[in-house]
Amino acid sequence: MEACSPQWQERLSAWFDGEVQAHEQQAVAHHLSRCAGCAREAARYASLRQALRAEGAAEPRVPPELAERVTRLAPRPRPFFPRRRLAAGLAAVLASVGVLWTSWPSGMNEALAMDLERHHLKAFSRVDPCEFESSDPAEVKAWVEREVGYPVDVPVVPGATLLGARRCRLHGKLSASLLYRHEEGKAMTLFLPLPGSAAAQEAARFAGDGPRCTQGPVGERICVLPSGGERAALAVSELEPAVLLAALARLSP
Amino acid sequence: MPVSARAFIERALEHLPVLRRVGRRLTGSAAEADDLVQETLARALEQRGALRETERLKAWLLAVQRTVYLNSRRGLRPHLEVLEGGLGRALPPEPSADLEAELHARTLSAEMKAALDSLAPEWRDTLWLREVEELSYEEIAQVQGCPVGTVRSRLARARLAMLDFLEKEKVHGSL
Ligand SMILES: [Zn+2]
Repeated sequence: MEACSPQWQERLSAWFDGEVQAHEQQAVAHHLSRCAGCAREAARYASLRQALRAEGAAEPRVPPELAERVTRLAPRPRPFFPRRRLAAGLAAVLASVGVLWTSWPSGMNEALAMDLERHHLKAFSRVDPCEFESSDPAEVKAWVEREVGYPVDVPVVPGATLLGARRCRLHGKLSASLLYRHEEGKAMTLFLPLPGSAAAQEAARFAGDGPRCTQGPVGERICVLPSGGERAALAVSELEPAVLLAALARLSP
Repeated sequence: MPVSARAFIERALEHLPVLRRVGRRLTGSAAEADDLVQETLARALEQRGALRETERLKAWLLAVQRTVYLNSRRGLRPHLEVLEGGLGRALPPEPSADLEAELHARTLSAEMKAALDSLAPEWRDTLWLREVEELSYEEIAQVQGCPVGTVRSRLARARLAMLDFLEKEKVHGSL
């Protein structure tokens, strides 16, 4: 192969990366020992590598907030009970009050469940979770309705503080979300998709006749309250489903 | 049976710097890169069952990141960010420590940056994945979704173009 041809350059470059066969390896090494031009070329590759690595090392360090956001993707370990027993116990308690509980996978549309959990986790991983901040339901309602273009109900939830609201996308459609923080500091998001939208339909289909709760794929709890037709409201949190259902129950029917 | 979500995320945390560096090159902004990284790990968490035992997590995560990025560019789900930047809301300012480090890096290596910017994006990415992230040809092929032969030729050409550019700069600088 002729030196300086593109094929030769490629071979030299691959040799430099240790990505050639053993016999090629020897051939290139032999050539380099006799050819000053190619030896110089290989040395240039080495200094380029060094410069690029310095460039990589000069990149800003990973901010702790990002590590925190990522860590929150994994469900928190629940140390007191083995998971299955907890889930079974929970299912029994909820069944006694007429609520269906299922662990993941639960039959809820996976894309929808992921959207819900992501919006919830992402919002609360920020320093300022809300786009619009206010603890006044009337103010929040006015902002949300202006932004999403359909009427919403902003409930007062006992034991929780209204933080404000965010717009989000569920199944690609602009949708309202309300953010609350409970007394122990636990975060909760209420999602109020446009009635008749794909997300509302999916949620209503999942819930069937009554309220229904599930664990999402990432590990948060998701409760759905259908309100007839293609309407439904959803709550997402690490809190017990009973707390989520109590919050959803504050919405006017 | 895939590893637990917790164990998986703990292993993945080690690769945050790589994902972020490459994410910044893909998106051109630190804030967007962070959203991309979070989204990537959410996807990776769901799909972790598909990671083969012999595969290096780093390369696999980079491949997932690229898919997530391309999908977001094509307007397919999942969206990278809820709405920020999309509906007239400015991106949050970057933390000042980050900015400082960035300015420092910028002045240190304006020349290297210019040289990298002069390359075709695929060449630049290939070179970066090889030299800085130390991926093998096969891993780069996986990440970029192209044959190994393409990786090989891109690298050779990217090296020559970079060296040419830097050489010319040097000549200009000394004049
Ligand atoms: Zn030679």
